[in-house]
Amino acid sequence: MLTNLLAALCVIFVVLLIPIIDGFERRIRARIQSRIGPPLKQTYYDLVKLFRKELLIPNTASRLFILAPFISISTSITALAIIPYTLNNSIGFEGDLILIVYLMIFASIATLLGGLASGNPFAEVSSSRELTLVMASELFLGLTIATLAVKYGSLSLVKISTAIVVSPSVILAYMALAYYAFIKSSRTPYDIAEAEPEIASGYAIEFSGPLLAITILSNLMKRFIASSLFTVISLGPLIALLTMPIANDVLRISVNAMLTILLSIATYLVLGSISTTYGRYRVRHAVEAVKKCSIMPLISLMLALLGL
Amino acid sequence: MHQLISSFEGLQGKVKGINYLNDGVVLVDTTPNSLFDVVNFITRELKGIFTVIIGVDAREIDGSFHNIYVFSLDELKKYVLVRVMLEGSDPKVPSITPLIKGADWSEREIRDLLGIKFINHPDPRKLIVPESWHDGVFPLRKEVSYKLRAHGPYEPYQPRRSEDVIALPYGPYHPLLHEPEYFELHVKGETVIDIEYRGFHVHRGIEKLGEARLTINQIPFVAERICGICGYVHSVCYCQVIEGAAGIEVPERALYIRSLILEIERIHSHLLWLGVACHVLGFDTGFMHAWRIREPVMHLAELLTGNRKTYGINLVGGVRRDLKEEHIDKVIKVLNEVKEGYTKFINYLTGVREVIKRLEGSGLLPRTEAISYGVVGPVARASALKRDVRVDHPYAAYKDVYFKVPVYNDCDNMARLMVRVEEVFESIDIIKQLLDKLPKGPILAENVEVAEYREGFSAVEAPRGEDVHYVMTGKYSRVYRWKVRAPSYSNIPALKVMLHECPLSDAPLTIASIDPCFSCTDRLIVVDVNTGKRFKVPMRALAKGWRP
Amino acid sequence: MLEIINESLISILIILLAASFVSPLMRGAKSLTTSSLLTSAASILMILLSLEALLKDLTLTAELAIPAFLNLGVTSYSLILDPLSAIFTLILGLIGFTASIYGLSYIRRYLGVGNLTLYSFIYPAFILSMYLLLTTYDVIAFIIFWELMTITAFFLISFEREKEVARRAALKYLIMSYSGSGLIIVSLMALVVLCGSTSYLDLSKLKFNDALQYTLITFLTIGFGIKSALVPMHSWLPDAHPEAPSNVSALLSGVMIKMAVYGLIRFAIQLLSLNHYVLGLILASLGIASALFGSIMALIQIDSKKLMAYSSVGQIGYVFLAIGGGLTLYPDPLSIIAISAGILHVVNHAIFKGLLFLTAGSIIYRTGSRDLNKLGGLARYMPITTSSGLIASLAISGMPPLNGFVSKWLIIISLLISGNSILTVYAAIAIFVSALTAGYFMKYLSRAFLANPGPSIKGEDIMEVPLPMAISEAILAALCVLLGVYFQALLMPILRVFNTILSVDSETVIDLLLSNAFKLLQSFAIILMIMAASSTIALCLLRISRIRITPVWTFGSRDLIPQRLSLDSSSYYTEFTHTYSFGYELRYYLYKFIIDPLTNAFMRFVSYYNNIDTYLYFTLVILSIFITALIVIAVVI
Repeated sequence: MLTNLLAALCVIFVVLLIPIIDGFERRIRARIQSRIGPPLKQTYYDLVKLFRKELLIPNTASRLFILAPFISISTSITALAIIPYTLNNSIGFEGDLILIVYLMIFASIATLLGGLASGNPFAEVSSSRELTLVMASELFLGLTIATLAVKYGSLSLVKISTAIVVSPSVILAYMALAYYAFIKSSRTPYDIAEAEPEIASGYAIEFSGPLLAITILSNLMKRFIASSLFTVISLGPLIALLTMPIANDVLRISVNAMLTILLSIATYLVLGSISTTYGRYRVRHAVEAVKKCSIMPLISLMLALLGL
Repeated sequence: MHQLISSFEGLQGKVKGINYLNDGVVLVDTTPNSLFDVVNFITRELKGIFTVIIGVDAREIDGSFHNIYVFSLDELKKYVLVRVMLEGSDPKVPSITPLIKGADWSEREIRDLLGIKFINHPDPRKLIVPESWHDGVFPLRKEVSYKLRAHGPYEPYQPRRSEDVIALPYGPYHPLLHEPEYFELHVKGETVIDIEYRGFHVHRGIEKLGEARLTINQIPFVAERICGICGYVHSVCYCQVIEGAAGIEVPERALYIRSLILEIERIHSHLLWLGVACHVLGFDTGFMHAWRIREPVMHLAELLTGNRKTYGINLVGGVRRDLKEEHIDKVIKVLNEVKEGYTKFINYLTGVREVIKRLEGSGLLPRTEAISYGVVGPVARASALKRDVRVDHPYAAYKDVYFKVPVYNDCDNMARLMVRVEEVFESIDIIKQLLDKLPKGPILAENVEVAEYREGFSAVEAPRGEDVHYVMTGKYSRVYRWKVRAPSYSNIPALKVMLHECPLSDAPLTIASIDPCFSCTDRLIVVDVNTGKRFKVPMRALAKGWRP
Repeated sequence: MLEIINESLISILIILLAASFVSPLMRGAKSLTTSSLLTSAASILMILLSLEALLKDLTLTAELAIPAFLNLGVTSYSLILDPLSAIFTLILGLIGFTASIYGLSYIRRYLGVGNLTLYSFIYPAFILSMYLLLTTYDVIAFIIFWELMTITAFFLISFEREKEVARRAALKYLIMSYSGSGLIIVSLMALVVLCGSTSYLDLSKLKFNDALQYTLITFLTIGFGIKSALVPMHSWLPDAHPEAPSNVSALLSGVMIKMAVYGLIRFAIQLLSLNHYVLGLILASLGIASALFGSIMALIQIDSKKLMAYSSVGQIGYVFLAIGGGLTLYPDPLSIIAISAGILHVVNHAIFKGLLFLTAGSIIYRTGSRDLNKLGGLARYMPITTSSGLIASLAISGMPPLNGFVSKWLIIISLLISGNSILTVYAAIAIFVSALTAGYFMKYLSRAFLANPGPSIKGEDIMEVPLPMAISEAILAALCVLLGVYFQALLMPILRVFNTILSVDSETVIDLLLSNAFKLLQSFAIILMIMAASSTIALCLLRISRIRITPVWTFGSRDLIPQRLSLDSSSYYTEFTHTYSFGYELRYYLYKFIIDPLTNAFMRFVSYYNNIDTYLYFTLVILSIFITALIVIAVVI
């Protein structure tokens, strides 16, 4: 009971925390670009401002336009709820990793559907691009998950994040997961869906006011989920090992949760800084880059099947 | 010069007269019927490249309209102006657009503003005037007041597109564009097949204003405001025209100061462009750093002229503000720092893989097309055309300095980037040479007198290319006709070729690579299209935040 | 397994016979109404009976006495509905019901153009043939009704007589089906000959030597594979399914294809003791090949129904992947889960693919067009169709909490943790295919419903579809959601069925699954609650804050906006298809060198003759050849 409560607290905490993590990222990005950058709470200010603004609905839009951002954020929150920050064995179930993957796809699709429902041709261009990237990156992810399944013998996120298996294939799989988190975070060079100069924000072009706030929040959550996935799977075993000596259950899982969330934030910021040094890919380059990088999880899967 | 004139002997019957305007400009008179032969001769035999067509309402002088076709002979370092006189009541002349693609816009503009008919022009749509402008009113004619707003029936613009093409509107308001213009990209999948352009949304009526309200001495200041980045070139060019037409001797020191400021403007314009190009590529880090490096240059400009931009130091006959001795060391110091930072930045930028991959091979403009459209500036130099006004038709102090003109054969976006990159280094070098050789002496010519009805023509190399002015002086210290052709005017039509078969992601990049300065390009009167109303808004109301 | 006598089985038979023979007497629209209503009544009965059989683990039987004068050699005919058949009868009933109600309005479109009387005769006969196919324990009866199903489907596919494309598609379908049937008939006849009896019960006690087993398995796989459009025997499906009337397409894609799965399970699995491993791997490989192939082809389609037809090829691939995987893993308890997941996917696919075809039909009904390049913006005119299309597309993409997610999830999990290398790789590819599915159905949704109107949309007569069509769509959409949240309702019975068939002790595994399933349900409930709550709050909030309707943003030019404000459907995913073009090149060469020459040879041969006799002679010839061959093998070995 208490563990479930803690897990729920984690979710609420993370959801409230995400804008300030984004604030940190914007600061870091600014400093790299030799600017000062906005105050740390800027994203909060932006979201609150957006909620107070007028909502403009294009006359070609359908009701899905209003509904879609909410679907997107609901699935994102659910995905967050399933990620075991507390690294505790009592939550989660066999196969919840797949559930998270599908929820992430659903979140992306929902946002795109909202854009498509607005009737703007640029939204169509951008959703075609984003789905192209999703399709290419899912092959990448499928191979990575297969490696994990083979090596750990289970698809439960909790089991994967607490058991320690050290082998070349697993290390490669962790690296692949890091790259996946990078692709999924819609940052340069992979922000082809929202390319502001080219297609004027793509699917987000018609969102305004509260809907835009929800969409932005949903995008930020998607980034955080991708980073958390990497942290929980790759660094989870280390954290579990570190806190094993702690006898008190409640204390241990609280420390687990804190460490996991902190490391997720660190991953998030590291990926953010790396993206500052990149220009944006052309769509074809992005898909080809993902295809080429798919060698990495493919090799890790081969190694895993060979027993390495 | 004699060689040039004698080469026209072959066209005996066609040419009515030849004389010099000044040292580097030849004026050839001909008739509408022989126009084609003369033009063919110039483009084929003399290898002249088309520059612009100037239309003059000269009915007050000799009862006719003048059409002046300007060609630049780069190797011979001369301009050839072919003048055709058309009768005042019904001016008609055959269109040379089928021969030279670059003449398209010039002819449409003259048709819109002066009412001269061009026979066989392939695209008779309105170019300059808005859709709701009355058809029979031609703003540049002398009888039309500059205050007139002529409203006619509203005919929506007819874009030309094939049946089942998907057109993506790109403008007039777009997050990428700094000025309003309308590009319609016809796409198939992710490739642009064709474009449709409608511009001139910020036409401000500067030429008409120059004729109607301003004196010869006031125009340099207005000319400076033609453009937001490269205004000084317009000011210099205009002054040179008047000085050439009136035979005014400008002091050496003034010429050196003008060249110095021109080069500073070139540096800051190219750095601005680099930042914008990075931003278009999604590489915001590059954007921020480029502008950080640019900032000291702006400080320099302020130090030397009193303003970061729109310097206001030009007068007919020289400059208004002198260079102090203590500034010179500061200039050299700042330039060295800029050069250092800039070198580092360029080394970094050319190592970023995404940037390189996207720039190479996109936005191709083959050399033949470049000649046909008459492109200028870095766009031309990137397409293997060695054109630079500072070398071809030297002006100000450029005959005294030595510098390299970078020419690339690749004809793509990358080449345009590299041309501009190298030009910055060259500019820094030129400034140092100028400061070395800076002569002492007066900075403004005394007793400037300008005679009436004299024609003048001059060109200056703006950061974007060749900027050309033509003036016919008038009575009472005014101009009779002032024509400005900004470099982007020649470069934008070439976009049609560059954007053909271009991936959609590179379309904004290609458009940005010609460094379009739409403020320069659009120049005439603005009418409020949406409501059709005209406003007289007192200054006080504007200051208090009046909105329409 | 308890056996209960239930006379309703016969009632279904009678109603369908009445529908088939009595309604044509009324001619025209009346015959359409009668046959549709009668068929729907029969379908409801089918649903009820199959639910009873499935949920209570019963076998329902009924006996018909056959008059002696017919001289058929048997005195009674039994209708037997055991739990395995019940699964398939359930989908037959569901899709049959919704398609019939849908057809009430939809087929009116053919008034004066098509032969409604013929439709009202053939359509119930089609459903009847499948029903009888499922409820018999007699091999000969199976064969007869299999052929009947093929022929009735032929007439339905070629319903739009005057279109050359439809006729060719139906012909191709018939020829390929017959080839498949030929193989099936030969194998089944061989079984009968060897066993001496035609009842399933007797056949299951048979023992064979290996060579015969392998031959029979190969024939059965190819034969049933042709019918269920397994790559590389699938080429009839993308041609045939789009041409049929949309409710018939729903039945074809949703049910008829699955009859082959039923046949395979009945005969190959239940009756023959075989080398599970090899058969399983072959099926799984063919399955994943179909899944990949169908999906990459669907990405580039611009015809809405062809897109769905290729999607069917892809989803059947999933089913075979699961079944094959299960067979490979036998006797590991996971195999039960894998096979059950595959069968659950059969049920789910019937529901959402049926629904998708019905939505495509609604679009055709109102706009007359299948071309995605020319459609668009129907969301404002057809809200019910759009919502159903949306739910179905999300379901088929495997989005939680809808039903497609459950079956895909189970398939992927069971294959990933199976420990078998090949299956693991296949499962990884299956995740990829899932993303592809999402991709091309987003394309369908966007181009048909969401984007701006294209040339086919002329405003006046585009409105929501008539009530019967809307109701059938709504029912199937509701089922998608219901079966997504309460998936245990069907999953547990199916697990039990296969537990019995394959006699594996999987109680522990099922318990493990149950506890997981409960937690899954919890997460689903969370999702739904959050979504419901936030949407409600949002909609309430929006009433308070300011909302303004504005024209769509085209960058500020009032008069410069282009005529077509939407994208071409062939412009979607061009970068993806370019980068992964090896798939398309492979397909090109496959077709060029193998499939097309074979098909063309067949067609040319047959088109010399144009009547029914030829087809019968053809079947006879092939049959004789095969039977001779088989007898030779049996004798030799």
